[in-house]
Amino acid sequence: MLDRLWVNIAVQMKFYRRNRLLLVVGLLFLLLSAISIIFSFVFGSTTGRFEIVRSVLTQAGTFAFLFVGGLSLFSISAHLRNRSLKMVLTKPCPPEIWLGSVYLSATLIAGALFAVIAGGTALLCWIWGIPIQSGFFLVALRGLSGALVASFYLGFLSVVMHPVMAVLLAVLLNEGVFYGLRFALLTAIRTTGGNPLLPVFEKATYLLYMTLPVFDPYAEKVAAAEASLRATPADWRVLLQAGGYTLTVGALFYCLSLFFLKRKNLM
Amino acid sequence: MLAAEDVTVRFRKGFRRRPIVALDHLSLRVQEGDFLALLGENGAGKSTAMYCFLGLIHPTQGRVLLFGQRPELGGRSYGRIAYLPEEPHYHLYLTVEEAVTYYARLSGARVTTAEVGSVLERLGLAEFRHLRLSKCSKGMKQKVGIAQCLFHQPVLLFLDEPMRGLDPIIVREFREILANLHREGATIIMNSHMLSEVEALASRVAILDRGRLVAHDTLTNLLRTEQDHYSLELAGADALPPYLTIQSRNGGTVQATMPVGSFDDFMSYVRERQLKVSSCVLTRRSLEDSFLSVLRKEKPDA
Repeated sequence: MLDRLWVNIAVQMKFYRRNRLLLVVGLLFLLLSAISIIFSFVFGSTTGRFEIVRSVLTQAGTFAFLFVGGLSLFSISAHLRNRSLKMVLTKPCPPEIWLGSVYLSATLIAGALFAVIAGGTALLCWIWGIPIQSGFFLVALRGLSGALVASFYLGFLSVVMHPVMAVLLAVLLNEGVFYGLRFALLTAIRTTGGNPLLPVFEKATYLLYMTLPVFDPYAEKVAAAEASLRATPADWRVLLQAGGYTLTVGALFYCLSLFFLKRKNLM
Repeated sequence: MLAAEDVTVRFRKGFRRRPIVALDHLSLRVQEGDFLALLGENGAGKSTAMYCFLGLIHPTQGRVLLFGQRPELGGRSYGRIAYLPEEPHYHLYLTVEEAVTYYARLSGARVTTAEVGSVLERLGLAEFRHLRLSKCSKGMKQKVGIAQCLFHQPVLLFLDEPMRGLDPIIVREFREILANLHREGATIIMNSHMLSEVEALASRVAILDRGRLVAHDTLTNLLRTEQDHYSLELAGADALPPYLTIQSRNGGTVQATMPVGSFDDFMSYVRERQLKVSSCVLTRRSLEDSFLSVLRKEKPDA
């Protein structure tokens, strides 16, 4: 089975490597990053450079989050839509292995991408003579954790619905939206008080808020570390918790994806 | 080896979710060593039946048993199966060589580059080994499908329109491959519209019409070989033997038909009387005739 897992991961990697859309997005990101770095090389001061490094780290992290988040969605929906999955599952290769290879390959790419981001910012610090802060690695690892949650969540959505619907759902109906909605409903209940439907809506939004995955777990606990890029032992403990959350959510969405994939008619 | 028991598949299609019965209470058994051909018009449910057998779609009602168990996608039993899909739905981003190696390795075969090369050579794909499947013609993709069936010595083959898009040389070679596999004991289930291929290869035939099984018998029974006869034309005969059925008389020339079994008697009769036979043609009922007559029975207005 391990052999089949590696064979599938290798094929997934070929899928990502040969996909023109992913290539264009990657190149676009590299171009934007390069322009921003060259610009700061020419015009930046030493104090400004620290801000630039932080900005590069944030920008690259956001890009990597979106890129990695889309990988599983892209792979699952492409294989489902071009119906090539039936060539895999009519061989002694169970859906567990194939789905595992999709998520593992996305995880490997995410790991490599965030390693490059952390390494790149460390290199910039070294070139510009800025002390390398452990906070760089904390931010990169937190970014990796969030990107993996997004990858598993979008992967699951792409099994159950059209990829465009999946993206719309993830963008428009995420936990942040329901958090804001609940806050607004609570304010409305406090100010008007009379409408009996409002508490029902509030409970429903709270349920959805609790159910939907958080892409940036425990963000408020490491906000100071992310701002100063200086991580304390407490911040690393929070990172461990975030890692645990990612593993749990990943396992949950893997199982859900598998459940729905097995019930799908693969014609 | 394979049993479908009262299998019904219903889909909902289109914006209005119109219900469609793709398979209607299909019951079918395939024994070890059978070469079963599934025949039917477009949309009769042949491919749906195959998807059901393979576990790719779940019956709304009834059950399918593959090697005595419900098909569990990707299970160990699939190591004994080869599947060639109707449409070449392969991993289009892979090259010919990569795809064949990938599918073979998934089947459990430990293939070397040389082994893959030799199969590609045999199927005339060697020069395209580095071409991506997205750039290949339909026929070439079909050959890739055939190649991936040949590595792990399958005991049960599912072939969905296997000859479609193939050139005559490869059709002939593939026919020989299938005949050999069948001779060696493999069980084959094939969907095809090429009745001549079915007639040449299959041992049993099942005919589907609008999802229903309307005929399932051995090829011999379906062809009703007892109805085969000779149409002949002979001159100078006066007293004709009783097994000849006269169709017409034109002066001294008689046009008649004769059962296949009377051929030897007829030859003796001709030799004794020194008669001149100007033509003697074996008229066989073809699978096409049987197929059409079964369908006409189902749809008299068609």
